Amino acid sequence: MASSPSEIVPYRAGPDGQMRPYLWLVLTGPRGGERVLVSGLVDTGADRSVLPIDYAQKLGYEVDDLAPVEIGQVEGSASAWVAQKPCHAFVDGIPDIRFEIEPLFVAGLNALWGRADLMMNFTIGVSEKDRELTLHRG
Amino acid sequence: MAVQDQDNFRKAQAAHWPKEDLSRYMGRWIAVRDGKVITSDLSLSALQSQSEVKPSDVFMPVPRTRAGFFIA
Repeated sequence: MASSPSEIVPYRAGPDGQMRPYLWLVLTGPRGGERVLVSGLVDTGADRSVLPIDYAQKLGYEVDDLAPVEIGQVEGSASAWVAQKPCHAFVDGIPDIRFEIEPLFVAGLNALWGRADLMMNFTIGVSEKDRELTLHRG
Repeated sequence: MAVQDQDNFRKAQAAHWPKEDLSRYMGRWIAVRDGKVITSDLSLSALQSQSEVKPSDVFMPVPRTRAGFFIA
């Protein structure tokens, strides 16, 4: 079957009612285990992908797998933990393109898909006018 | 075929998104089944321990704000 070279995802309304480019990824932890569906905001300003710390345990990360770092954010600095081992990921609905993510785990509830992983595997188009996200393969 | 692939992709991306207003859940984790919020709690572990939650449910954090992060 021929594959479409690109996929379009409409924006969705977040909890504050604002339309934004959310995307579901399927993650598997560094030691395998269950598949975890995670919805995150595609963020071209994020150097790497960010996940709430609660996901670390669900993905099977152990204390020694995480390195503490200080992060900056709009509200000031905060503690976070960088994964020292990658988890495995694919965009839900595109299982043939697999990639690795070394997430930055934070204490908040924001999940962001950043440039170091998702955007190394897809060329991302964001149309604010049409309120849609385009994933170009390759 | 390409159209069919796009349809399947859109269905996959739309299948788990809750169909209701999430503003009441801001700051909490929610369990979603068939597009409906089943329950919520303050942490993922507390949510998963609730009796009405099934392992097949989708779990989502509902942030209060859309924060930006960078490594200092």
